[in-house]
Amino acid sequence: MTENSNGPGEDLTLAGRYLIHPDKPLPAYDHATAFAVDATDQRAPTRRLTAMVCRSGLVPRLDIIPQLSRLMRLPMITPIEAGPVRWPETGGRRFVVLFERPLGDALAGKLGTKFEALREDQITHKIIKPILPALKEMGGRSIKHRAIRADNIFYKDSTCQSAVLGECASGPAGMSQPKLYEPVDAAMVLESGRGQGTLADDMYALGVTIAVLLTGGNPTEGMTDEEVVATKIRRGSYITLVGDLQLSLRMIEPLRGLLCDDPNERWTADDLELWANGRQLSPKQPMLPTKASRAIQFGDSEYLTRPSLSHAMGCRWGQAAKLITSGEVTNWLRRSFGDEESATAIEFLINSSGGGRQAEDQLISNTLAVLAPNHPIRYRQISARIDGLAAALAVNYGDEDFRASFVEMIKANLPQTFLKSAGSSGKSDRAALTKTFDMFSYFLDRRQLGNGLERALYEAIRGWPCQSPLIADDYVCELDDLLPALERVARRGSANEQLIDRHIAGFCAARSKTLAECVPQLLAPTTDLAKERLGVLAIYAEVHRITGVSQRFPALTAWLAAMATPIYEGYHNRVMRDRSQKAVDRVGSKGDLSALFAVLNDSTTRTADVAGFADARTEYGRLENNINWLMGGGLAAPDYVQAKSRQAATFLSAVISSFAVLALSIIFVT
Amino acid sequence: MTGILLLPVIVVLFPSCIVLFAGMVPSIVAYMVDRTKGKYLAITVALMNFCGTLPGLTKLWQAGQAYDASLRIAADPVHWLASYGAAGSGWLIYLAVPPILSVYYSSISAKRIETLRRKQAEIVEIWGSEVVPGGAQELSEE
Repeated sequence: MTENSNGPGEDLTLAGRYLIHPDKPLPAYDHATAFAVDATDQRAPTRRLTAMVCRSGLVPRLDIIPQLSRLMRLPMITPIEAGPVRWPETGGRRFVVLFERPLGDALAGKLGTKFEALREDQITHKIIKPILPALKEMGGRSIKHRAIRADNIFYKDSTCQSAVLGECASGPAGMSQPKLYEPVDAAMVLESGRGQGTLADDMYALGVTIAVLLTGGNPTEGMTDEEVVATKIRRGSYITLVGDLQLSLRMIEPLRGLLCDDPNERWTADDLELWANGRQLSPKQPMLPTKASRAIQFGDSEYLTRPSLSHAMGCRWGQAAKLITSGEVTNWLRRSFGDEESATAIEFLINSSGGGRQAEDQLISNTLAVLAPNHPIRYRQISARIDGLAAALAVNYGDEDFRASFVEMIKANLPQTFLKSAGSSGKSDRAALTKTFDMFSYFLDRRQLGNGLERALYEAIRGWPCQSPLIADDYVCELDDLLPALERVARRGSANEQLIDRHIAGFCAARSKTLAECVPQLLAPTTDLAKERLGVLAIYAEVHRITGVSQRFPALTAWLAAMATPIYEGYHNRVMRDRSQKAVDRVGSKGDLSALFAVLNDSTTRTADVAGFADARTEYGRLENNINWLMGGGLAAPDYVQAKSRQAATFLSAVISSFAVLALSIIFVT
Repeated sequence: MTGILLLPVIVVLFPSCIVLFAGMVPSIVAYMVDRTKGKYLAITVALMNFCGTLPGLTKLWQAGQAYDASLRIAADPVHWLASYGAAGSGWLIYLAVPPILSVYYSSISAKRIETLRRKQAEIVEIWGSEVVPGGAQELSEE
């Protein structure tokens, strides 16, 4: 990954080699998380490049870009170069991922557009067989594509004989996928809450892609997303997507395998390879949830399965509590499923639930987890796979209601409870996720700057850029980017009194081990403005030290120097204050944050100032007492004058008599 | 104890003691009337009184410390005048110094206040108005 070097008014250049042309959009390659523009390789101008520009507020898959860059020979569009560039429309920075543009078109247009359906043999020979090596290689490296769909698979060239997988790195995993392409649990959640996903999700998406290509359009046309999900739950994915299509037994086999709703039973790339090589595998039978002997009424619909009811209650959150607390759900579980354990668990939840809205919401969330343990976690408007919960927060951080709901979830330990009861993830995953949510609880209990929800967010998602309003548009995802971004803010003149905010503090603490502990201490609430600003400066100086003291930030240093007035104004001694101010002015123009901090954090001078001030105060008081005594006639007071006069008279008498004795002695001798 | 130790001296220097006693009577009186701690009046008068008595003693010692010479000198009005005059001047010094000193102190008080104020201003100049106990506010009001 390379940092761009362009400045305002210059061409958009990535890695000093690739020119990006924002004025030449390529809408055919756009998707939900990124849009495409033309790009040129200055060393090879004939290359056809596409620059995928990440949409604001989203981040690319930084973890897989380096790995994918090394898989150039695979039938897949892999990143050539990636990095942030300054985007002319906004003035901020956007993350751009460069790809080689395929010579052929996409297999299909966006979901919903109709096209000529492909024959089964075309799908086998032109699509499945060519992309299998890519699926196997990615499977071997545990890289999940999470963007396999008909409009993101391209013909390799204009002969349209072989397909290549489209790009998958320019947005969060799975976020660009329409709900149709996602397995039931991922389709139920927010796009941002799908998590990293699994290889099984990719195989499912391939199955849906085949169904779409065989249909020549959306196989569920006329149904809303929610209806598709509900039908998948009720009838199974295979029936929902393949439906009445007339298929050969040979094509039914992979579709049943790939569209199997149980991820453990779903076909893998190896199974598909065996099938493509002519081996016959036994067709998977759809696994449908157990039906109840009688339906339960919820709203104006009746439900026969637990997952259907759970999904419906999650979608109509406001009505769910009434159904649960009425005891209908527990009766239904006992009478229609004979499931005493689940019924007792829900009864316990009802009895232990206190009053109020939050308690009601927690009751619904926990009940849904009991009803359908393999479904995603839900809480009010939040629905996410448990490993995608933090990412959902990150994407929706600007939504205050979402944030409030998330905090309520964490405070009630709902994710930890969900992890204990859910059986979908592995033991190690569960331990890691539990640790993550414990970390959220820890930081939420500590609200001071440098902790709180922001800190937890940056700790949980290592590549998430800093969302501070000061630099949110600058795509600061590493500590190295922070000071240059603040330097740009200072140069623009948009710097204000707010030197640091909750996001920058949390970001610094999360991205540096040395700052992790000291940020909350340095930014502890205080009424002493000098102490507060010295704390801020200490943090930026430490960031400067960590990221390389050779860099210079003149505008930022000048900004901080101007803000540092209360620090040196805090000196009592005018000489020290003037000397410190001169030193700040001198260092401030050089752009060295560490030096600025060293000047302002001179403990020797500060100690001398405090001690000197105390002495000066004492001396002033002593002088004042003397003046008061003199003004009160102290020197001319009769008692004082009398006392001094006695001494003076005695002294005078002694002097005179001494001279007299001396004179008489001389006379007597001579 | 001191009297016992001085007894041989008095016996040996008895003529000098006659002259000295006769001349130092004002000092003895001053000692008796001086109620102050330190007996400054007695000391002042005694020092001057001794100076007035010293010429008589000198005459006695020139006459070989004879007993009759001591009586003669003790009865000499000039000796009396010198001793008592000197003691009187000591008493005058003691009485004259207080009014003089009072005038002097009155005259230097203003100057001293001015000096102290200047020192205070220097402290404020260096350390700021916060150095004034109880306040910067008072100064700003001024």
